[in-house]
Order: sequence, then C-alpha cells, then structure tokens
Amino acid sequence: MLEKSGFNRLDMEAVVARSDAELMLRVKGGDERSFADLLSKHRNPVINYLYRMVQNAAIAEELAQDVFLRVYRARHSYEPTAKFTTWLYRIATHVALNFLRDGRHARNTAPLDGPDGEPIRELRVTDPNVEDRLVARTRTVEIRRAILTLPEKQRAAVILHKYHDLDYREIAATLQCSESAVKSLLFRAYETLRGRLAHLAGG
Amino acid sequence: MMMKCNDLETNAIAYMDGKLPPAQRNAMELHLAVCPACRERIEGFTQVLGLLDEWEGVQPSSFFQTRLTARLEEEAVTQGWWKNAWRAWIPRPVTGSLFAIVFAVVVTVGVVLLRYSPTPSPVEMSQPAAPAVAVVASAGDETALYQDLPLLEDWEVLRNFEVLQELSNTTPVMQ
Ligand SMILES: [Zn+2]
Repeated sequence: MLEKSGFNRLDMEAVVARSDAELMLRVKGGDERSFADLLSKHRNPVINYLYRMVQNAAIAEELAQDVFLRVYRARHSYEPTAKFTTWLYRIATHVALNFLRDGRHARNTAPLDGPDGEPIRELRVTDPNVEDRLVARTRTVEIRRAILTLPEKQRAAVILHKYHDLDYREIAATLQCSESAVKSLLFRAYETLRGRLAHLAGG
Repeated sequence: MMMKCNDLETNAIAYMDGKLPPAQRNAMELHLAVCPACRERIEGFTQVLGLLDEWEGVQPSSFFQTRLTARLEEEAVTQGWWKNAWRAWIPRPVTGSLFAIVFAVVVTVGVVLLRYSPTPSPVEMSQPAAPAVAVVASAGDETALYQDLPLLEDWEVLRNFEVLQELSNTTPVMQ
C-alpha cells in the first residue's frame, strides 16, 4: 500500500516535471502563452524561496522579476537536461546570493523590520487576541532571525528542504554539491537551529 | 548493521523524512533506544521542523504580475525592433563578420574588466555568522570563447551568450 502510493507520487512528479520542460520548450519555440503558464505555476514558490532567503517581501518580488526575466532571456539556450524546477531554483539561488553579496540590502533595508509583508493590522489594540498574536509574532521573528543567521548555503538547503519539499538530489542539483553534502548541510543547519530555538520548543 | 553516534550526521534528516531504507531505519532505532544523546538531537530536530511551520509565506502583490508582464513585453518589443532594424539596415552577408568584430571587442573589454576588477568585498550582515561569497571567473572559459568566435555569427547566439555569460560570471562560491 505504502509502496504503491509512493510509486504513484513519483509517477506524478515525472508527469509534472515533463510538462514543465515541455512548456519551456514551447517558449523556446516562440509560444508566449506557455511562459504565462510556467509563471502562474512557479511564481509563488519562487517569490517565497527568495522571501525566506532575503527576508523582505518587496525585495523578494523584485528579485523574482529578475529570475523570470532571466528564464525568459535564456529560453533559446534552454535544454531539458535537468529538471525545470532545479534549473529555476538554481537561477533563483544565484539571484538571491548576488543580492546578499552586493550589499544593497545593508543600505536599503533592515530585513526583519522593513516592509516585509507582515500583516501590521493584526496588531490593533481592539483585537481580543492581540496578546496571543504579539507572542506568535515574536516567536516568528525569532525563527526568522535564527534562519537568517545560518550561512547562506545552509539557509538555502533548509528552505528548499522544509518549505519546498525538494529531495536531497534536487537540493544537491540546485546548490551544485553532492547529496551527502546536502545531508551534512541540513544536519548542521538543524543542529544550529535546535540550539537557537530550544527555548521556543515544548512551551 | 550497527549504528554509531557519528553516523547520525548522514542519517538523521533522512530518518526524520522517512526516507531511510528499512535496514538503516532499524539500525537507527536500535541506536536511539540505547543512546539518550542522539535521541535528544532527533527530538530537537523534530521540534525545529515543527517550529519552522509557524513562519508562513507571502502572497505576491497585485503589481507583481502587471509589472512582470510589462517588462516581458518591453523586452520582446525591444528585441524584435533591434533584430528587425539590424536586418533591414545591414546587408545579410555583412552581418556575420560585423558581429564577429563587435563580439571580439565585447570579449576583449570583458576579459580586461574581469582581470582588473577588484575582488568584491564580503557581505557585511547584521549578524556575525554571515559567510563571505567570492566570485570565480574561469580562465578556461575565456580560451573557449576565443575558439568559438567564428561560430558566433548571429544576433540570437550573441544575445544568448550574454545571458549565459552573466550567469556564469557570477557563479557564487558558497561557504
Ligand atoms: Zn548516539
């Protein structure tokens, strides 16, 4: 039973992956509508990957625009040798790291305090659950800070593993390292997070 | 199969994800039954995974799609205009050699810039643990570019090349 559902899931992934590649090949052939299909499917995951990497929603959107423009510009040279999502996340990782490296974020934004998409209206004093929500928000800030202080490669691995359900092989292909390196990255990252977030657990 | 504390690093995450093969899974469980330290780590990891659920994602703003569509259209129009303009102004046989010359100039300038540009300084994060990221420019690629020169006689190829160049020049080395 378990094996059967596992097989079906893999089967489905293969179908989904193939259709992404097919769409991209159609874009390569000049079909703009296929690009819109790819966009609507991958827009939210890419924005959220970037959001969790740079921790600012407005910047994440800017970077996501850059990612999709790059994908569009690279359409002529696209070859379906790697899984489309892996290729996409690899580009997104490049864009995120370039941003984090060039220091723009240090000048323009304070990642955790900036206009980061947090629903400010939840903090109205008239709200009966305001204390609960403040506590929840403080916890989230601590969780975000803990992830932000991870080295970039560990951070990317954790985000792809935890929030994007990529398997080790896909994370390895995205970050251009071996599968065992991914396992080790994840282990070290979760070990660090365990230490930093111990006080939030089990409370 | 026996498992030791040192094996935890390569097996812990796959164990929690339920992706360990049965034999390794059994070995892991036997070890956890007798090793409080590893058990504590696994429990801690499970708690961390639970905590991370509390950080929700964002929805794209309503401007995202509009802006991206506009930028894509602008790009398509500009490219189409350039392509047509070049094709109309310059006789077909000339374009190949002309682009080879333009390309040679671009590559030369690019190589000079690559050689003499200073190494970018590491990222200064507000937290102390931020790692430095370095830029790598491969000398092998430059040679390959010169060798491929006569082949690059088409605007499309040249433009694609720039995109790839942009990506490969900025290959970040993490950690
Ligand atoms: Zn142990």
